[in-house]
Amino acid sequence: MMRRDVTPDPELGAVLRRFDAPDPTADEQRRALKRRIEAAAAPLLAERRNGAWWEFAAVWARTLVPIGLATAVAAAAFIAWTARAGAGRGALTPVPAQDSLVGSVRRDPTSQHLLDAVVAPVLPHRN
Amino acid sequence: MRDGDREAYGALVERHLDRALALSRRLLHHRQDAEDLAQDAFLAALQHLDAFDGARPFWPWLSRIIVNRGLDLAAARAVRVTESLPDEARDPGQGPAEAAERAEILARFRHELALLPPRRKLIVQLFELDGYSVAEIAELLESSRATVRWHLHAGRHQLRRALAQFRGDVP
Repeated sequence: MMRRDVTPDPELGAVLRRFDAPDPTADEQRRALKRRIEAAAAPLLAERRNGAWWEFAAVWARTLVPIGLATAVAAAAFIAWTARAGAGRGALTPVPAQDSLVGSVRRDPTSQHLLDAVVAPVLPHRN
Repeated sequence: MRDGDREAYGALVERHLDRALALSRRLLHHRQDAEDLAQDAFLAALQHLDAFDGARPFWPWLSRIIVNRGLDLAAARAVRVTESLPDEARDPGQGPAEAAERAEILARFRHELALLPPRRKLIVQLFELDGYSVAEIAELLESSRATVRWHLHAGRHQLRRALAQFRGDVP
């Protein structure tokens, strides 16, 4: 019975057609609809012509993202390396004498005088 | 058209507008609503053009947009049925008794047609009136051929019964 239904039924089609009023969309209405569709589509088409900002971003992302990643990796490696190099010198570690201001001044009389002058208490100036 | 070519888009609208309107009207039974649906579908197609496979024909894709939106619209609100019985149905050559009987048959048929679920009614009309094949309807409705065949059989059975009652075929 189902197989019989795969071909159109002329009698049924004829009756159905009676309720299928002819398309009342006149030529003028059709043209107006087409104009309406094209007018509504104009901004979307213009966007496609000019390219949306995300399209530019997508194009540049292919270049900028790898460069950004490489830079970030290099920066991280540099920071890690400098941190490891200075790891033995914490904030509480005494600064060796040769690295300090005192150590940088050579131990000769002239330098000693200079050092005394730098660290001596400031006395009120008398006229 | 992907580059925003207005002429290409205009040609596309021109090529498919009649079919789009016919299908929209088949779904909504109202000229203005059908025009709105067709316009909406053309714009939706443009908005989602990047998802469309350019190697495939455009009409099946557009028609699926129309059907999906049209069925949603039809289900979401009471569809305004403004189709009137064409004058051709009132044959002036008939006698009063014949005309009355004919009018009764058509009224009964129309009632049965209105009772069909929207999807089933659409399948019957597409097949009987618009010349779509079962395979084409299945593709349009994103359904299996067996399901379409079942709806077609059930819808046609219901409508044939309405006609047969007045011929005395069915008690």
